[in-house]
Amino acid sequence: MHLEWTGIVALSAAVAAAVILVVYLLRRPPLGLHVKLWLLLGLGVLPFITAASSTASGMHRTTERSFCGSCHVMGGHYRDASDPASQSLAARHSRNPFFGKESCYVCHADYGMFGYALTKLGGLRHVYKYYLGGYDHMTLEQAEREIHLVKPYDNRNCRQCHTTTAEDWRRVPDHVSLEAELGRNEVSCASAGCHGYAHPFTKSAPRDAAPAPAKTPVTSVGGHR
Amino acid sequence: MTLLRRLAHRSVRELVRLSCLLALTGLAIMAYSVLSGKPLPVILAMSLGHLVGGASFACFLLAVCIDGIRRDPARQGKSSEPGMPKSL
Repeated sequence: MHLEWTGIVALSAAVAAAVILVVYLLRRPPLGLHVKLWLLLGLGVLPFITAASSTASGMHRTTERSFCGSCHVMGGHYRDASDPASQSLAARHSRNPFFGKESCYVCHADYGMFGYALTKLGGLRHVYKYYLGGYDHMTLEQAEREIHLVKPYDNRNCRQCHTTTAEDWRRVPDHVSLEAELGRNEVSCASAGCHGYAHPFTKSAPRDAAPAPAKTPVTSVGGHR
Repeated sequence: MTLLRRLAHRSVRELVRLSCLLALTGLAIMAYSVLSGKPLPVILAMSLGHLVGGASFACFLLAVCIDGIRRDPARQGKSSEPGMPKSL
């Protein structure tokens, strides 16, 4: 178990508050000003610190790949992305230190000013679908066949790193000829005709229909534009 | 009888005790979410944990207010006027 500093702050404040409250409940001193101030610390200040830091810790935790993989329907995605031998787009990006342990979030978070908040709101839909929408009863095979993205993957997420203005990018004739379609999301960077599916095992199409992924694994963001 | 009136009828000490118990529950939920890191505990901590913690602090504030009003000599004087019920 790895704790972020926010988690350590949350636990420390929770323990300190609990000590104050338990001592009060056991001793039951008269409610004078001194006791009220201690209770303000134990019921107001320290719990507020716990709430704020545990929220920060929880929000950070939701960006980690292991968090996404903790739902069984994402087991295949998680294993493939974490597999050092896999050549899928997701696995190659996950090996990049820029994506690292947060590769699901980095690729799937909406780009833009409100991207973080919108992504978290979208995550609540995943929770609803999992616990109340029947996903938790699905087998992994069924989930991989039936669960799809709610909207087409936005190419802007790829273009956060793979800028379309770089000379290397423009040197590829297909990039230039499809620039307008890519901008309108009519053609996906992660499609069979281009860079291959991010999670190819979820596609029913035969694997040899997709172009072979790059032979050299991506080692840095700048190395594969 | 509204919840506020019911709470007002309870003693300050009881309210503070309730506040402490609610706070301990909320703190336990939030601490568990940090230690576990699984989706459901994290979501529970951000919703139920905060709700219970907020309720706990509200109980404490209510207890302090009731205690303050009870100790206020001006109000005590008013409530002891002839013809006025003692509960006011």
